[in-house]
Amino acid sequence: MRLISVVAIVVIFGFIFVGILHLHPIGEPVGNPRILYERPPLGIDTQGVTIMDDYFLRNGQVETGSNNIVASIVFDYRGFDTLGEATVLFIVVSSISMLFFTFLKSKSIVSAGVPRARQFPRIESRIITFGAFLMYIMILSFGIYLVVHGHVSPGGGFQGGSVMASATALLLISFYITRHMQRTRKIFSFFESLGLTIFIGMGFAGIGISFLYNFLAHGTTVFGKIIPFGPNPGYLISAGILPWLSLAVGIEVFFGLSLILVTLFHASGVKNNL
Amino acid sequence: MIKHVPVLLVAIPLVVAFMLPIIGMVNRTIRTITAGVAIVIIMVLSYLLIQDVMICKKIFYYMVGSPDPTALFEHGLTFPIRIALKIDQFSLLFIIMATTLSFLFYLFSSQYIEENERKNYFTVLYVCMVAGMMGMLIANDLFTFFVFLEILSISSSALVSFRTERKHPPYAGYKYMFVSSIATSFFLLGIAFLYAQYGSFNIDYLKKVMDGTVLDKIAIVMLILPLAMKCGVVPMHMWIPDTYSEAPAPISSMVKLGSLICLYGLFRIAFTFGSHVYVSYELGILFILFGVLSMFVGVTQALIQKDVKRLMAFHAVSQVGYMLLGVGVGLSVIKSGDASFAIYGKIAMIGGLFHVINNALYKGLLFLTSGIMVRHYKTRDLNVMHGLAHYDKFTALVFMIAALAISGIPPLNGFVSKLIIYESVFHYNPLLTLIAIFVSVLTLASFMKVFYSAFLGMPPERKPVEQPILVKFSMVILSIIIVAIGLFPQGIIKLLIEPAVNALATF
Repeated sequence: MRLISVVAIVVIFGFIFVGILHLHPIGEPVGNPRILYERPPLGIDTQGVTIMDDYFLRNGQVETGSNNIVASIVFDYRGFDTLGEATVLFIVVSSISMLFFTFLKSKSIVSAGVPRARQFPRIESRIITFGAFLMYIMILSFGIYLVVHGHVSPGGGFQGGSVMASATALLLISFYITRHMQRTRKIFSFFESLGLTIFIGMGFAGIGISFLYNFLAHGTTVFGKIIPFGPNPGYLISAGILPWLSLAVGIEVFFGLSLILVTLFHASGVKNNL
Repeated sequence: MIKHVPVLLVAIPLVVAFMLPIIGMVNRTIRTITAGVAIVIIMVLSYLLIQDVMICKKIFYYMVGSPDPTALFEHGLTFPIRIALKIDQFSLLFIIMATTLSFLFYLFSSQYIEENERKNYFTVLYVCMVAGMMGMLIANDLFTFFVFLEILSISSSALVSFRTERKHPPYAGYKYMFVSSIATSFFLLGIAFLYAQYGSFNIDYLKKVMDGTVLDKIAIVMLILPLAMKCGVVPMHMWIPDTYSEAPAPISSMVKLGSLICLYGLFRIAFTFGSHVYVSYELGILFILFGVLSMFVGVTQALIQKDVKRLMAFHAVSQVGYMLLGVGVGLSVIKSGDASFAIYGKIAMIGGLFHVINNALYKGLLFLTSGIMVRHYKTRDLNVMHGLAHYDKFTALVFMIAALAISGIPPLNGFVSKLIIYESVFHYNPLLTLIAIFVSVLTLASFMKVFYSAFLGMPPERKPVEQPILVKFSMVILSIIIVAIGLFPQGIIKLLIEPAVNALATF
């Protein structure tokens, strides 16, 4: 049996390797490497554009008003896929809440008779709790910075949200969130749904033209600043709906991942004490 | 407004799913009704498209986020830069099937699953599953297809392990999750090959630029095998029995429906890319091989089962074989150059696609009745069950209809599609028809076993509880559709199946 699996793995990887050998040669990208440099500063320009990537490099900054080409691809050109990815996270959070529901409702958490100190080995240390609280604020501010500047500099909703959720993990291991677990989960769940509803609401807001259309870009007063082509200092009020989508995803990822952390933390606490 | 219908089919279930946790905190009845209304809306939208797509032969394109969503290419380019959605005759056939059946299964589950706080999450995941199916059906973009395939797999694997208080469902859900993540990773690798070579995800554009190198063939194999794994064809069917038998009854039906949607992806990719890379004959032979293996192994495994839901799960494997056989014969002769496609290949494809619809109907109904049986007897063991028909004549009748339909007994819908497959495949190779008829006989035998043990015999010790109204209603509607299609198959073949086959064959 072990021999068969080894042979199968070798065959599959040989298969993939043969495929890689037939790719176009390394060092010669499919598109045009100098696509970014020879370009008029305004308007859509498709000269020399032969594949999708070239179009993004050449027109992404001007068309969406976002300095971060990755953000313009993720939230504008392929915004529908991002909606799907955000939905995947939402589904994972819902599944974990559903599957661990019996753990969370079990007696050892809810019953008032059992002292809480026996459920969680609580460390009563002022240094740890106060230090964790200070770090919490700093990590949260860094995460918010990443989310808000998603369309200007590297970062964005997913990254900033994950950074913020790591702050929740810090609070958990320094035993801040041990009481009122059901209420915490309800609040987190509410804000997670709210973030996603903002995302899809922005999509529906543009449905006069098309779903997820960037209706705020190109010269409106809200987030519609037309930015100059090439290197520039970066403008927060540009890129249309991109900052809003980034913010929505940031809210969703922060509260969703926090919900997963809180749920798994309490479920593992129950299991250890059974 | 009708030009936005492709994206609304996905966006409406998604926005409702996102708001359901908030609504569920407020009132649970409103939550149940809202989710139902969302599914009804997309069902009505899909029926509205029949006039345009099926009769007037119009194809709906939608570029998400584009200034002009119906224009295929922006700024005079020759390739799309945004995500393309497309509804043609072939996808509309599956959209109608998926929306209608998920609405009926939702009616069943709204009263079958007991009401508590976990049902909030159940409803959310159910609606997400519907959204995942819709996204796969309308996507004309490989990566969007992959994303919604993930949505479908993750939500269904969570729902499979819904009954966490028992021992086995979490294992079944974990197994399903594991298998589908392996499948989707290989699918992603196939997409990566195509993207690295051609720089696009768009299916129509890839079809245009593919030139039949070794890389294309490897990428096509990597796209097709994972989808075959998700359909449960025989060398990759090990997850089917556990998943279908441990899930709650409406979820078994929904997972079955999801595997048929993966079959849609399989056919779509095989027909779109296969004929352009000159591998359509080989792919057709592969489909026929898969089909015959699935039919035979599935039914022989089903004969020896004592567990009613495992038995039905193995029949699901064997039924997929019929569809692969019918469509595979069509695929293998489509580029042969002689008249064989016009003589029997197209008819075989009509039989295969018709069997997809019929199978979704009666297999869903069978899983629903198995839920009622299991709830009454508190076990899935056929040796323990006896005599339910003494008290519950309704379930007995409904089960009888579904079992006769799956065995291919004349006045019901299974007979029609099986007969079309037998007759057309006979021109290709008589041996295949013989195997198919033999499998059908064995199917009848094993379902007679189920009917005899579960419904006939001594009356049971306690009376069964009366089923709620929506549970009965959904089963009645499914039975009526089965009988109606069986009595008047011409109408649905003319209206839905034949345009779909034409669209598939001319890709």
